[in-house]
Amino acid sequence: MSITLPTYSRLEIPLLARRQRVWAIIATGLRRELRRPAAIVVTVLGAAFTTISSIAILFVASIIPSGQAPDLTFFAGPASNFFVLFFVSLMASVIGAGLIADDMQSMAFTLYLSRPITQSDYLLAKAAILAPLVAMVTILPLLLTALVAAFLSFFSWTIALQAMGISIIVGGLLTLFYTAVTLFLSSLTRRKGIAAAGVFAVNFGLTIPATILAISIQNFSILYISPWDDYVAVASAAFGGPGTGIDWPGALAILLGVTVLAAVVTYVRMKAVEVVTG
Amino acid sequence: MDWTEDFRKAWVVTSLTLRYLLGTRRVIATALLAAVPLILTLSLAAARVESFDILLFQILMIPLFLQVFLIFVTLVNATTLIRDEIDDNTLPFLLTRPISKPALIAYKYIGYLVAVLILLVPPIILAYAVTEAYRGLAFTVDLDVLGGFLTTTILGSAAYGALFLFISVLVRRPLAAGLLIGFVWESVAGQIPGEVPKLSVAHYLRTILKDVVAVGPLSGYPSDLGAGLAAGILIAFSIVMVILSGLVFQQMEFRQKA
Amino acid sequence: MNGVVEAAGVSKWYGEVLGLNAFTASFGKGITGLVGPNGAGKSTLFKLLIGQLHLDQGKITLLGEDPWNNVPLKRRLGYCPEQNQLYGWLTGQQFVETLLRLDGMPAAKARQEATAALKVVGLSGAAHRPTRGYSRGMRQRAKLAQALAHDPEILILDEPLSGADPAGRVHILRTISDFARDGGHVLMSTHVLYEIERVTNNIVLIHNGKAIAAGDIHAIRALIDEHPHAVRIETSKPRQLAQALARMEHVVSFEFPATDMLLVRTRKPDAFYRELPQIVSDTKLEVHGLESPDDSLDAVFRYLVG
Repeated sequence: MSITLPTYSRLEIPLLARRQRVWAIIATGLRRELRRPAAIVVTVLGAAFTTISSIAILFVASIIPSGQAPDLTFFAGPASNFFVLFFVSLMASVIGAGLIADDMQSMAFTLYLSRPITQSDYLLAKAAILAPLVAMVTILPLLLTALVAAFLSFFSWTIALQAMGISIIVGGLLTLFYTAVTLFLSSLTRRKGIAAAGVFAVNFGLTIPATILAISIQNFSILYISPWDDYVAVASAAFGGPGTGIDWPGALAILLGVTVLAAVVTYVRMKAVEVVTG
Repeated sequence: MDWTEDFRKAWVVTSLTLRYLLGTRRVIATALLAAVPLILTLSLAAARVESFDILLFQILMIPLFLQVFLIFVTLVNATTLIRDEIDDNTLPFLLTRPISKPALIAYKYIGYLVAVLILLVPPIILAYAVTEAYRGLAFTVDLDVLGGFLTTTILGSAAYGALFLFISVLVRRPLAAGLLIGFVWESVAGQIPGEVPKLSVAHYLRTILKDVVAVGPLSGYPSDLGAGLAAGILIAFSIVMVILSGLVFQQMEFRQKA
Repeated sequence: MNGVVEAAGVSKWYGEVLGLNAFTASFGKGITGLVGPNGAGKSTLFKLLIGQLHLDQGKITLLGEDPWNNVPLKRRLGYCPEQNQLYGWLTGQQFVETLLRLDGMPAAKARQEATAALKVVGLSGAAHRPTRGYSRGMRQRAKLAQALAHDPEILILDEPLSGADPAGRVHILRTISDFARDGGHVLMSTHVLYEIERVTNNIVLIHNGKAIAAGDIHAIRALIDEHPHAVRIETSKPRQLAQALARMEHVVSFEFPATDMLLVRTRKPDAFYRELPQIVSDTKLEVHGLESPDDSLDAVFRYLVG
């Protein structure tokens, strides 16, 4: 008598291309976020509020007689809309703070990394989930403002299209900054509440004292520490608007530098993180 | 009613809460947030800013500390009291003990309050001390300012904490709701005319500061209440919120996550 | 209602999903096993018993009392949840001690009882390590320690052996048996029949939120044995093998689903497995594979629910 073990042959399933694997993470993340009432409310409120207020700012600037024909510089006002800071902080806290923290808390991170997915794929995917949602507040309002202005003939289509192009660039810069910083903070903790608090600390902990102190002590170079003021300086310069007290090249360098640094540190941290089960 | 046993249980839950809020790594983030006033005043002193005085201290602390960091430290700590226990599946250990749910809520709230005051009060006192020392003044010169900020810190912690605790037993994602209320509503309500500002905690905190501080940026704050009444309203609000939290929590069911 | 646990027509909905469906059962003294597949309603029943959920219909009592918001009742019960999370920043000793103090025990006594409970479950060596560093088996024992430490009347254990290694399982089962022998009642859930068999003969089978069988385990085992049990054998000569197996009296039927497969139905699977190797050896036939699609609690339930 003999009992022979059955032979098995492994079915080789071709590995999907990297972009498809990354897209799988993005699709899952977006689906999850867009099912959360809090995320929807904050995104819709943010987009609506910033768009309406940007249009209102442009409208008011256009109708107040200033002796100046409507040109590109008028768009510097909507670009400096404080509601953008407000809502981007809210969105980063509600949506972005949990993107990595929740995966660490729920051990989903180990599931991702047990697949043929690298840490950079993972981070790219997470950035691709957050960035479009942040862009609803940083880029979309400016685009819609220019569009509405052109439709209502406040501005020529040439100016409106130029404004849209610049909006994409400066709004994109702000989007990248907040995406990188939020993901960095989210990667530091398993509790998204702590990450959310960090987002607000970075935004308001730097912006409010910098603004107050700059006026009080009449030293505007202190505004460089405020990411919002850096962005406003760059945006104002891009639209040809008035100076803001700090130079736009320095401000741009700080924004880009912090963005890249946050992204690199997040990547290094993700490579080093150990998720202990139990 | 065995008061000794109730006190013992209160002590256990309070110290467990304290241990969680102050004894785990999360305290690094919350302590850093709470220490912002001190970090700021030390930076101003180190930079030898000429106009740095008690007035600038107030101009900075009102928007930064009272409107931002006080809210976030209380939000982050109050919303975790019950939600983290539910998310971490540790709540059954407490619920299967002979302690009522409202009592559990109350004892956790006390633990929260002690923890948050430990985090928030020393930085304010030290920041004030740094400010006075920088001007070469004695610690007791502007005690009304210190008293005003300490009172608002204590009452703000109590009121915001109770509010966020109530939100956390009411909704599954209290952070988002807390951010909207604590950050959006509290900022916006004060700008709406009529009686609407009275529906925000910030109004009463500003009223107290206006009344207590002799000379400050809130001297002209439009409020028809006195500091005593404002303080009473905040205390009553806190008590009501904690009671409501207990009542809601008592009827809650807990379907643990798998 | 005289049992330790009495449930009459208990129903519990989770939205549109029925967790318990007119569940009626009575659990007596000693150890009772609640056996059912995943999603049967075991944890739902336990959560109703510890007052974590409120029933939608019916009546349920634990030790003669309604468990919902019943604070004094909590003193009499010890609960070991299914989930493995503990207070990670506390040591095992602190964890049990803290919960004992919540039972109203003074600090010194709580310390003493915690030490004793941890010794009983075999966790003395790791008592002063933070529980975040515990393995799954250690967490299981820590949970059991906190359930036992205050000397409750009844232990409600939700999957107490889940995640435990073989040595740990033996230890836990021995602890449970000792508790019952000292007069305590135990209600424990599992989806593995043989685990329960080691400590008790009393089981309640639950399926789709209903109690479908209750009583002595041997009677239920006999039901399994009488139900024709299918065994699928892969062999190059199925008909010859069938001819050889036909002499077994307990074999009921043969089927040939494929040219190299034989499906045997037998009333006595234990005897079949015992005799099969000798028959295969005698006939010198080759057997490539052997599996039993019926060898599961699911099969029993399918039979019982018709």
